[in-house]
Amino acid sequence: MRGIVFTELMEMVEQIYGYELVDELLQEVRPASKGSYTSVGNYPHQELVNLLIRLSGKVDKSVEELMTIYGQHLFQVFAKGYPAFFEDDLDAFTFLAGIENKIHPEVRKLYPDAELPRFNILNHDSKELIMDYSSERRMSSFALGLINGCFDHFNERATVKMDKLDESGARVRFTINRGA
Amino acid sequence: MKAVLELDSLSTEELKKQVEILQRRVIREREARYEAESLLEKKSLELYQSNRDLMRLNETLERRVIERTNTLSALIQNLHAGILFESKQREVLLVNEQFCEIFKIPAAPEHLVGTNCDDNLSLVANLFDEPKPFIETVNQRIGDREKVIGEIIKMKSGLVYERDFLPIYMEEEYLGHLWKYRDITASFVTEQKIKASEEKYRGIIENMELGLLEVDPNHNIIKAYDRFCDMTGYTREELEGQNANDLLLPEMYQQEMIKQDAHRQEGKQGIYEVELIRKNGDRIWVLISGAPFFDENDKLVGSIGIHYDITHRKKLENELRLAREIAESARAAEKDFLANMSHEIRNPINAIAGLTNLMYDTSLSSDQLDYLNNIKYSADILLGLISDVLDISKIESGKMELNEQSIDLLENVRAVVQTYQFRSNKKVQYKVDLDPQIDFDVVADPTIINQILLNLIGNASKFTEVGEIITSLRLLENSADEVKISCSVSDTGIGMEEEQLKHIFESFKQADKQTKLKYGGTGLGLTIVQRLVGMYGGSVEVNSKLGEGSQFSFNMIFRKSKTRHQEEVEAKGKDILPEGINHVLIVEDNKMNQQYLIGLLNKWEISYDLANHGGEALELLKKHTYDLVLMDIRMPVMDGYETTIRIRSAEHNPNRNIPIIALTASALVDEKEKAISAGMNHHLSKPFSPEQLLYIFDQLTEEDLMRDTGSTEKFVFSDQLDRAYLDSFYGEDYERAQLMFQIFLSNIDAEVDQLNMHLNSEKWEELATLAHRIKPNFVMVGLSHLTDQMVEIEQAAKQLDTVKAQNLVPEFLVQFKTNRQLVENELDKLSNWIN
Repeated sequence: MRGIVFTELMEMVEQIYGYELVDELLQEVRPASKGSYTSVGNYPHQELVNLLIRLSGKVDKSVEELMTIYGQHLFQVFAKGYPAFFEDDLDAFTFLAGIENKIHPEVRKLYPDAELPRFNILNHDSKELIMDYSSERRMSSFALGLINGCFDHFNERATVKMDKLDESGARVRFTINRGA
Repeated sequence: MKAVLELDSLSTEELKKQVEILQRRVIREREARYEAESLLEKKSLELYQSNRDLMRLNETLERRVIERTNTLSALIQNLHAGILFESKQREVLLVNEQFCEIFKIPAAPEHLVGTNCDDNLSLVANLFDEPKPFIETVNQRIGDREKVIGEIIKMKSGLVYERDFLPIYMEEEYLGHLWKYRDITASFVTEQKIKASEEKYRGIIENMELGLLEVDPNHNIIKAYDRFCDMTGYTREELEGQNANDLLLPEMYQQEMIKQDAHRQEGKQGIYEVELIRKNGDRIWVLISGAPFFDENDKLVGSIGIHYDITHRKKLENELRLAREIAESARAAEKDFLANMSHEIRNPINAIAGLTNLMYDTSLSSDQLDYLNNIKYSADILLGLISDVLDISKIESGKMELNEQSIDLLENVRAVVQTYQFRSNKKVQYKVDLDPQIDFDVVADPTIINQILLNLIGNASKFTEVGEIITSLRLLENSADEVKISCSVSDTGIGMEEEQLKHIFESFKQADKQTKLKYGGTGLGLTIVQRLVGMYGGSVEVNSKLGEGSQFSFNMIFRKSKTRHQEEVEAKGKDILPEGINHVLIVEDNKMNQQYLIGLLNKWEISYDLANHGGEALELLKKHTYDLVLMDIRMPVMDGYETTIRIRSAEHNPNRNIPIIALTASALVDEKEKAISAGMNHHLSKPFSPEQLLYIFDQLTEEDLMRDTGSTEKFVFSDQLDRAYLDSFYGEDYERAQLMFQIFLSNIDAEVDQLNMHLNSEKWEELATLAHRIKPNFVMVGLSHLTDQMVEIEQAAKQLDTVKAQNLVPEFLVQFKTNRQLVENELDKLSNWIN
């Protein structure tokens, strides 16, 4: 997993709870990378999951909630870090609908070993966007956070409904409607 | 900062913990920095390497592009054509040296790249034959942006270029265009020369008074040349585009033209003669030599016809043909005259010879016998001459008739040689040398065999004073059906020189004038022998040595006879008289011939009556019954043919079927046929020997003398007439037939006279009309052949074939004379029958 996901998570935890919690997490989880994360590095996915599970126990929030919050935060980071992706898109729907065909191919050019979820657009009109998420990493809550972050970025309002399509949570349907 | 500010309030323990956290953070961050640095270093190395790879790739590509560009540019530079590649703004992108040369641009090609062509256009335009159109077409091509290939551009220098304009697109985008100028001066000049040369030869042909015409495969005129226009009277404009066949060719030649077309389709030339219709309606005769011509793909695109006016030649040809016909008819008349004269001469000679024979039976003094011998000798010579002339004219006209029978060849030879032995003085021996293998009879005409031998032996004896004349026969080949026999006559006479030998078989040629004076003869003997031998498949050869003698030899092929020859007719002898012939009617106007016949009949103790012509004969035949009639042909009052016809057609005539023997002075086959067809039974050519007459008598007694004379209820038209037609035309309405015959006879003479008058006054149209009008009249009285003749006369007169008409009408008049009599006779018979 891209290092930026770890560095940004540590940054967010430090900002909200202070470095002491960050230190506590790393001391308790003891990841193989020893927690010396850098955004240009690449780290095992399981380390992030372990960190989130430990964090969940300390801040009284479920792992899913944490993922959603983190996703929402990370989107702002991406928007700042990769402004090229936001040049053409006028609204959140168009941006989201284009992830699979426009964003992901560019990501793969930069990071050929990146493992990305797949989005399948079932409906896309002015009011509604239905997209199916599928990933063996089962990080649909993270995706939900990113979606929320996207609406924040475009300064738009929408209700996002998330339905599991299977037990494991590897496949999830997002039904997004414009408005509050 | 916050941590530092809060330090004071912290306990030592707390402080210690904070320091530991900080220490760990520093370690983490340092490690993160190291890792990031090492990652970045690794990345930058990777970047450096891929950058280096990219640079290498770039270099390779660049080198390739340069190579390609160089190749292309070298190609363009070396092309045998001026090349200019312009951008759409007309900037030079590429140009080669040839182009600079063509346009006389002093700069090197590479220096021109980037310059604008538009600026220089008017400058270079002056190099061209027509500067203004040059500029216009250049601008037009650039404006159209469409490919144009093969424009011919001529320069003032005399050079000729073929220009291609090629617009160049990269996908949709217009990049520019390429001009290509190719020097075709050489081929252009050659082409011009060929064209000029073609024109030159056409001109020559035109000057040779040959009219040229080019047509497409459908005969539409592509090009008409002046001389052809003159021939036909049309102008070039009037001809071109028209269909040549429709405009110029008369209907009757269309078929010929189709034939010629098929010929040309195969690429063959043809020469033919046709008439053409001129503009003014006149016709001219032309000789056309037509040849197809093809395009570069060998496809037939038309033909060129060379016309030569042969109207004048045709006219001459026609005149020549007429002249030839006149000459030929004159020659025929000459021949007829010769033949007729011979007959006329033979009659009196026959009488002399015959009477001389009779005179030998009277008692003569020795002087008288001597005179008589001389008379006989002279008469024989004269007869020989006349016979030769007649024979040769017979042979030459193809009228010689073979009268073949089974003969004993050896016996024939012996008999002929014997006749000479009797005449011989003792100084010349006549010998035979006969092959005993010839122990069979052959089928041959004895007269011809005898004539050959008589001529050759006679000839030999003429030129042999002393020695021997040997006649020999040798059997050469002997098959089941045919034999080949060699025959030779050799003498010990004066012989001949080689030069003489060459000519001896030519008519009227004798050894030389001296020979002729000394030995006499017509000079026809050997010619006759040669022809006669030819009838039996042989050819006479001669070997001769001057002073030693000559040998004439030849081979003949005969069919073998199935039966062995019986007794010779001649062997019958004078004393054996025919039975059943007791009373004879002689019809003969010539007193000497009368005497000859009377003498013979008296000798044979046969009674006779004498008629001087046919009229007298008919009178006698009404009153008396005879066993046979000896009928001369040419007589005053009524000739032998007519007399015979009358005898045969007279009703209630006891002598209607009497045997009639024609005594003709003519040996021609057609005379004999005429006699037989007139109803005579036999034919004897004068002069004849007593034996020959006896032989005929003998044959007659063997025949059934009497014929069935019974008549039926139906009237039977004479077989001289077209019986079938008459029967079908009149049925049994004989009264109508009688009426038609009467009308015919009362009118026809005036018509025929009129016909003759038209001919003499050369009124061809009237002649044709009259012939047309009267032609049905003849067939209605059974003279179909005269109707046929009338049709021919009509056609000849219509076609203005005057020579033919002049032949046909007299021929008709002769026929008419005898046939008119037939009709008259038939009318008499018919009238009698009806009564």
